[in-house]
Amino acid sequence: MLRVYILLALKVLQRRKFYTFISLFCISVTLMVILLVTSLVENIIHPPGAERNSERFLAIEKMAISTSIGGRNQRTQPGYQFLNAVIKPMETPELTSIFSTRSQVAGFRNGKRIKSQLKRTDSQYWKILQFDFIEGRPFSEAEAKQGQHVAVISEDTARQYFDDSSALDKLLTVGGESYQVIGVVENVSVLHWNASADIWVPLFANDSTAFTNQVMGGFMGLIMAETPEQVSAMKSEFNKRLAAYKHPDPKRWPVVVSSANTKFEQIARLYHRDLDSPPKTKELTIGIIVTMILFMLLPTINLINLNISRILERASEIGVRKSFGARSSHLITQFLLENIILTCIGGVIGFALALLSMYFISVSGVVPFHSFEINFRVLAAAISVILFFGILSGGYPAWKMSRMNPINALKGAI
Amino acid sequence: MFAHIFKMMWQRKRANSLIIIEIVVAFIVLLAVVAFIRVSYQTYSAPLGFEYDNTWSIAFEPDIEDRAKIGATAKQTLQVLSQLPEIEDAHTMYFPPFIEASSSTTIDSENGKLYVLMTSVSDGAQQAMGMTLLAGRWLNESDNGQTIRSVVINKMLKDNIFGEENAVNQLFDYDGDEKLRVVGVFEDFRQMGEFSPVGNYMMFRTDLDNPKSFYRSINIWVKPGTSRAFEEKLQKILHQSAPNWQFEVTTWQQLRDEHISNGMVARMIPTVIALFLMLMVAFGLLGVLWQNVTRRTQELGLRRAMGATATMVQMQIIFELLVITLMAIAIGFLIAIQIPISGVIEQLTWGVFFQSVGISTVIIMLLSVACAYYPSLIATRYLPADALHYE
Repeated sequence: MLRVYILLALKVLQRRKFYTFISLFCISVTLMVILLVTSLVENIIHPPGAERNSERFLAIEKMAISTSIGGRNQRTQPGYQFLNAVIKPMETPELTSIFSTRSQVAGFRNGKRIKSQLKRTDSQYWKILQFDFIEGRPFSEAEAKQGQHVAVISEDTARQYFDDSSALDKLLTVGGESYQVIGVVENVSVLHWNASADIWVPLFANDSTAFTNQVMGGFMGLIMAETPEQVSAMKSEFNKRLAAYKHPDPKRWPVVVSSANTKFEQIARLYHRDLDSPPKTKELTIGIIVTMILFMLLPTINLINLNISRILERASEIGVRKSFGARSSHLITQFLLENIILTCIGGVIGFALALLSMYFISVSGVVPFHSFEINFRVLAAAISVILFFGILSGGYPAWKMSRMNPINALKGAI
Repeated sequence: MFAHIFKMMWQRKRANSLIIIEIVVAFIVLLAVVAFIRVSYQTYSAPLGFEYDNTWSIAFEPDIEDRAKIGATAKQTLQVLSQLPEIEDAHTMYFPPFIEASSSTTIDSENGKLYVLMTSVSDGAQQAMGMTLLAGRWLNESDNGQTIRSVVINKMLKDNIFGEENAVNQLFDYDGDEKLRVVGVFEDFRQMGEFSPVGNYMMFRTDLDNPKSFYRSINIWVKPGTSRAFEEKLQKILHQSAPNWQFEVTTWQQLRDEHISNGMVARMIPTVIALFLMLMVAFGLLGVLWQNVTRRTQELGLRRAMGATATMVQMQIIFELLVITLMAIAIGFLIAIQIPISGVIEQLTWGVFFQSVGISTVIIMLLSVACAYYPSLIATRYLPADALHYE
């Protein structure tokens, strides 16, 4: 029976090619967009690569000082002095790291200017973030403390400066300083901004240690717990220490605001810059879900409309089957199956389109060094979208059709 | 004829309900995207208030071990820079424009709490940036040592605090107990770039002799035609002038390019998705209508037999869909109007809303005419004989 239905379904699809094309177009484009969006969201929330431990760490990337609550304020990244005073003495984290935010530096090769993003980091940085080393190693604690002029560079930077030869032990001159290359790591997507940079050098490779007295500006902190369960304890310890922290000029700046955020909270903070309130993660989740549903609503209604038209066209076929004793459930099964087959074909095309557009986005460099990945969560989302489409868009028309009066159906009028 | 078709469609509104729902949703999606682009265009085309040509920004990380020396070193660096043949002018600023770094405050006014962005610049920076002064004067040496600090404010802030009245030499409350004197009103200074919302702004004066002055960037105005290769020389000079400082050189043009491309990508994505959705809706309507016309062979043939011309039949098909579309737009409008009524989105003013409604209505109407055109052409091909021989 099932075989007959499937054969029938394939024949029906071939009969009116225009309808089949429209349906496939709707399904595949919708699925492509859904796949792209979920893959991107998934990639940011559960980053692979260097930030793969993201479930265990919190990032401190913004701070504000103000004259009173709600008063005049200055907000920017935290400074070394603040991070050192607040996160270094913390007990709950297994590891804590302080590093500079990306700064742009330029180097010159054969008179051509090469632009790179540079981060100054401590040695813990390399333990919290799991970079994939192509060759060489990260800098050690001693090297970081003594401020040795060593550098870890990304694959892309290595290619720009040294072509295809090994970059190890070569001298790299950027921003007027020379560093010995000790490691080359795989490129990191700019979307993983805790890790991403082109060149990493030790914090103290700078001649000046002036930054150690600076409360605000230019730095970020990462704190990592041993297990994901300890993250909330780590967060409350951070808040406690933050409350105890005093600005060196406490009369002028009595209020210091900052926060330690999970990856998802970091994203929520991008949209709500208000540092005083907790990150609006719930609003962001609801926003994403509502947008997705709204986005899928249109193609779904469209498919329902199309399917009803298709079924009306087959009124006489339904009339004949009904008069020969086919039950409503048989007809519903047949039409649902037809629709699910159609949706699955659309799903496969959509999947291919998504892979193709991911490839083009990666190649075009719109999002530097971003490589899309489809993991089981993204796949699960895709399959549920396909099922949602197939059942909803096929179910209602099939139910409507099964209630047709056979006499009217035979006459071709409903 | 139109009234007649409207009556027929009104009676068949239940049968057409799914198509109506589809167009309602399509209309709302389109309206949202059009309104978003319309609002973006409005903020984008509002005056920026300054020029960015031939301006470079040098962000620096000072050596703050000796606080008193920052001002002196910065001043000396400024002097060294302004003597270079390539450089016409040099000024300090909190942060360069077009980046997401700002200083802000809230000010109490009759219009409630005002969110105000601010910066502080050295004398002459406003002229160098080509800013427009509307009233009063720019900040200068005469503001030195005043008990009440002087500021220049943008027109929006002036309107929010003083309304239509003259603001020059007036005082306003700032930061609790302090008062500030307005010495000038300028058009605008949209520090965060064209895509940032238009807002309140004020500028303080940076006194380079005061060691407590805060600034994080030196901005230089280079001679037109200076190439980027000048940076190598510039870095060397900066390094000599302040050996322990870190400098980061970018052009304002480059900062703006990044700002614009980020802003464009953020607007392209919803536009492309909306285009795909509209294409889907168009195909869907075409399919439904086509099938509908095929099923109405008898009715349309009968009309031809009774003397209706091909054009009249064609008009009937097109008008039918237009009537359905109009009903859907009316429903969509009633749903969408809740947003400006509730005032959830501040930038969505009534003017912008009605313009967006107008644009979306035209697009959807054109879309439905386009979808109805081919099916209506098929409808004209039915001959009275076909209809009467049907079955």
